Amino acid sequence: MAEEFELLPPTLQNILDQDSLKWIFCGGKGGVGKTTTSCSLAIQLAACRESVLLISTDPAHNLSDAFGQKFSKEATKVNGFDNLFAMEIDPTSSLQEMIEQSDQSGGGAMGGMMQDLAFAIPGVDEAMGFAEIMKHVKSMEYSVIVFDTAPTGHTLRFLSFPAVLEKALGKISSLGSRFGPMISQMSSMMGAPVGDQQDMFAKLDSMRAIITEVNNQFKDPDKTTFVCVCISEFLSLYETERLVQELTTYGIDTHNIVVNQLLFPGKESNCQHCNVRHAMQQKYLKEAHELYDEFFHIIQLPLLTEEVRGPEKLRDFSKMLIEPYQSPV
Amino acid sequence: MDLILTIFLLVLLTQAISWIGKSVLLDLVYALYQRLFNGAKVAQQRSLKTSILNTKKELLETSAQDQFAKWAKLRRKIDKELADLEKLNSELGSAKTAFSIKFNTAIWILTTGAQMVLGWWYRKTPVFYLPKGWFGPFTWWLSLPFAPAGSVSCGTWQMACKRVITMMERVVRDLYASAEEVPPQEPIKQE
Repeated sequence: MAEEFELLPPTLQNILDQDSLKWIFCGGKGGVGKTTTSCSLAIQLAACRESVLLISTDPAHNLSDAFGQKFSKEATKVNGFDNLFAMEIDPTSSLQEMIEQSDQSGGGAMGGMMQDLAFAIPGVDEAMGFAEIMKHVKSMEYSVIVFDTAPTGHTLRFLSFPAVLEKALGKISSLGSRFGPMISQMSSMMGAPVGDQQDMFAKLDSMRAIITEVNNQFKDPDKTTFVCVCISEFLSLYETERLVQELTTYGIDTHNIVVNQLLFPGKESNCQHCNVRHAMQQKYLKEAHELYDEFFHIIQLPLLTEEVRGPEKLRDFSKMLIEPYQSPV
Repeated sequence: MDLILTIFLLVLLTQAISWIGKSVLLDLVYALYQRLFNGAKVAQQRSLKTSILNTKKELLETSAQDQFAKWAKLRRKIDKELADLEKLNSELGSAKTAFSIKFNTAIWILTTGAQMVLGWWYRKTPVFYLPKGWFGPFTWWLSLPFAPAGSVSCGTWQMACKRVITMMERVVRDLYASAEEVPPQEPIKQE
């Protein structure tokens, strides 16, 4: 079968070259090396962009582990870099905070009901927390933002259904507006402070506006792209295929796949494990090439003998995203 | 003379349609209509269905582990064709709904509507005159609402026809039912 198309270069240079990109997601299920990849990508981007923000929504504080530096929910500069910032946010806690804030400002009974309503719809807590992050982040000036996504993927799914979200938020606010006057009467009778429902619903409405705008940005291939990270095994490949199809259905651009933890045993190696695994990985890698070669860059990353932790090791590792790894044989 | 026959035939037609059943008629006519106007879409639907079944069979024979690329491509093909089929089904479904509305309306106009129009148009015309004193002193209501006294009005005649036809239908049905029952019983009796 002749090569009728040009094989896309197996590097992430295309992301570095695309100046208009604002949002880059790194995702994939099950310990495949998302964090390593997102950190490496952020490092490479920092070399050719004005400022880069790396955000992780995984409550396991993996960014702090990777760089060996404590990060918080405020953007912090990463040690050893001039223009790379990192932020670790727990989306559910940010939603909690938002509700607590409104509680304090006196929304009393309303706040409680809000909380129940907010958590009633699956994924809405993540999405609303996400929206809070987006609002926060949009006010800051970064040229590009790299997201290290948590494995669930609910967030992306929810965000990319503006209609569903509109309806959900619309219902909540209409319910509230219907019960609002009654509740304000009741609370005024019981002596609790009144008049904060407006506040709550103004917040909800502004959030809805933000979510819609964010959603439009995500569907724009010039602004957003998704990097799928996987390993060369059957289940991971299957998940990647599922992820690619889902992203395509929602209209989110994806054209990069990073295959991590590849074994490159030496020619004279007599380790049975390595050789057998290598053969299996090559088999799936070949299948992946056959399936994705036309539209995807497929980047191969090796399994190293040491863990990739700390800014120096990450810097070295990140070079392999741009210059394909040559196995030392 | 024409009026009496027209009304009778019209009522007979209405009853016949309701015996056969509107949905039966609808299905027959729709099948014809589809063949004439929607042939392409129906053919496409059929070919999509065969294609999906074939691809599914192929998918079952392909091992996901050993031929992942081929397997994934087949899956993608199936998903796309299923989505197309869904869309086609809903299109055809809405076409059928639209058609059935038009068809039912047409039937209604031709039967009940025609009866009403006829009855109103000839409201002052007597259908036929009753011989004096046939039904005794209570014949005045037969000419309601507008026909001259001593005659039978369209509305009354329509009602009468309907009653008679319905009764005939019941008689025929009972005869038929009993005719059906008798033969199976005989063999048992003989034993």
